[in-house]
Amino acid sequence: MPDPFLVEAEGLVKVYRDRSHVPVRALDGISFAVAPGEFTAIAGPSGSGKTTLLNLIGSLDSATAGTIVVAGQDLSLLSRRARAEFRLRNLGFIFQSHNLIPVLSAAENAEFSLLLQGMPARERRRRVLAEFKDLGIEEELTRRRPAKLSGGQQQRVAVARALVSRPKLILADEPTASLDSKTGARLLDKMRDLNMRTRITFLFSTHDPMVIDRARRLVTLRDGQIASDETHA
Amino acid sequence: MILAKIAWRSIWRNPRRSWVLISAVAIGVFTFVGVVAYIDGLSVQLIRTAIELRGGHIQISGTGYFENPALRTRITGMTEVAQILDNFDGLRFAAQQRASGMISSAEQSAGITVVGVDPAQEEYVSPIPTLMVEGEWLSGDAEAGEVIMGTALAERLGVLLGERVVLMVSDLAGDVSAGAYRIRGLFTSNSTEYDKRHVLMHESAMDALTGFPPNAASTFAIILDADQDIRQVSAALRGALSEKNVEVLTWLDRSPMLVMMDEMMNLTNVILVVILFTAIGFTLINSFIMVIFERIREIGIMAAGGVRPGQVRLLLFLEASFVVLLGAGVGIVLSAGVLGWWSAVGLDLSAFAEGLSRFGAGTVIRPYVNIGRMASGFALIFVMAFLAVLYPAIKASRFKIVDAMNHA
Ligand SMILES: Nc1ncnc2c1ncn2[C@@H]1O[C@H](COP(=O)(O)OP(=O)(O)OP(=O)(O)O)[C@@H](O)[C@H]1O
Ligand SMILES: [Mg+2]
Repeated sequence: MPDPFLVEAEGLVKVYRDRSHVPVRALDGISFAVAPGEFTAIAGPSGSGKTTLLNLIGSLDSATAGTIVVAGQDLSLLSRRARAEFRLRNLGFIFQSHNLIPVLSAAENAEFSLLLQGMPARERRRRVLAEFKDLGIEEELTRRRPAKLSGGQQQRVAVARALVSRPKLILADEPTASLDSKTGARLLDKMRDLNMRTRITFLFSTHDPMVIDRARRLVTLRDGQIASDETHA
Repeated sequence: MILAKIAWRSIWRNPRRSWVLISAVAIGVFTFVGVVAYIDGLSVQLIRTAIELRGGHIQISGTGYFENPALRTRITGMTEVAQILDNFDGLRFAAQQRASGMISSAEQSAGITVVGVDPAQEEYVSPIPTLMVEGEWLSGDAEAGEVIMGTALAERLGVLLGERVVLMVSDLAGDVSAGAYRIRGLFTSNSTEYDKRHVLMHESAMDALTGFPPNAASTFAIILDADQDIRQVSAALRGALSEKNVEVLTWLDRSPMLVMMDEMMNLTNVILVVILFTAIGFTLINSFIMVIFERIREIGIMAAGGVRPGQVRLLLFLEASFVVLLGAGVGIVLSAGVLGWWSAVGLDLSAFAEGLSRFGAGTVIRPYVNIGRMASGFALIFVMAFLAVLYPAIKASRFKIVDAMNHA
């Protein structure tokens, strides 16, 4: 029987040690699961552990205790190299800002993971242009370097980069935080649209009411624990 | 390849720093090529002088002559030896007769070696016929009673071209034999030491002075073509001459001093290379540590996007390789230009290199490009660059991605 969940976390604990070696319990025993096709926001006050949780799910960091299985893979069993490979095949990331590689053009940034996967140039080109068109990124921006793009344009390119390889899961850590509300709203609508069409799973961390409004499921963290978990109709 | 593209473009993000690095490598390459070419030029000249003036690449003599160069230790059957040598391809050779003796002018006298040569044959093995600065090289006339000598010896004796000197040797029978000769020509070689101690005359005239039998010689001087292997040829000669009572010695056997000097110059080269490349290496390490700290966040983004740790290292190696390639390219172009000019004009050290000419290096040094040595130098630069970025690269590939992403 195939795994019904894309993400399964069980008793996740993450303890950081700050400079004075005082332990900080960023995650304090979190258990939750994400099914394929979800469009879920993780909310909570600053310091409640949202970023930490996304990083663990994204295999960017490892848990102090607990298990985490993503796409059927127990992440704690993977080497550094295998985790990179895993991210390349399964995940897309969108960070708050400065998502792009400065020396690559918008199009080159967007096709980065396809290049790493060894996809032929023509197919890459086709996919990137389709994604750009879909996200309303104008033709003339494709050759520009990130420094010559506005914050909203940069975020759209980052979304395009996360989407082109059709990952199973996109992890977005406050993707709208650096954008004005109009740009943020447009981007969010696009992502929701894509979620409907492609069934790609989205997991956000956010403070932004716009994101919270659009999410179909809202998980709220407080002091590293799940305070509430509601699914909207 | 995307990593190469990123590496190449990254170089030009901070053009000033990159040019500093490229210049450092270029200056390093330039200094390396220049100094090595100079040292090798000196070494080649020293060796060439030694080879040309002192018996050739390979010298044949009567057995025991090298230990004790006595007049009686001679090669008998000179023409047979010459015939055997004739059968070897690419050998140039000439026979000499050598005796130590005394030369006197009206005021001065000096101990010297008298060398009897076949004037025509000697031109094949010796540079002296081309080094005449006054008068002429020996004529074929054995009866003319003429000698040639170094300018330095003539000055010491206080004699001029055309004047007479007296030569005194102990002949084959052990008796003192003397004769008066007119100075036909004066030469200046790279080695004042040689010039002060040698007097050359026609072999038949020398026979008359020393009582040497006609079909005999003290030595054969042999010069090889550049592509011949000296050890191989000397071994073959030893075989071919095994019936004769002779010894076959290469210049390496005869001049341990010269071999040592050559080795010392090689060592100087090595030390120089180590110092130079260590300096470049540290410059590279420094810059690349700066580079990775400036790019922590991008490296984090790439890693999050699925770039493997090995690929992060490769990226930095590529970047370093591009810098080194550019630097080496600039350095080579620069060196080629300067070396071209230098070998055309030569580097005249006569003002302060009195000592050099005593050793036979001449005062005008021309660079010599030893391809093998240069190539290994370049290979070494790459090895050094690799080592220099090893630490920053490993560090970069081990960043915790989360920390990298927190880095603004
Ligand atoms: N690298 C780290 N070293 C030490 N402590 C850390 C580290 N990263 C996070 N923390 C701490 O862990 C806790 C949770 O941090 P986290 O970044 O996950 O919160 P967040 O919910 O994403 O907050 P924000 O809304 O401000 O982004 C905080 O107390 C934070 O100070
Ligand atoms: Mg956060």
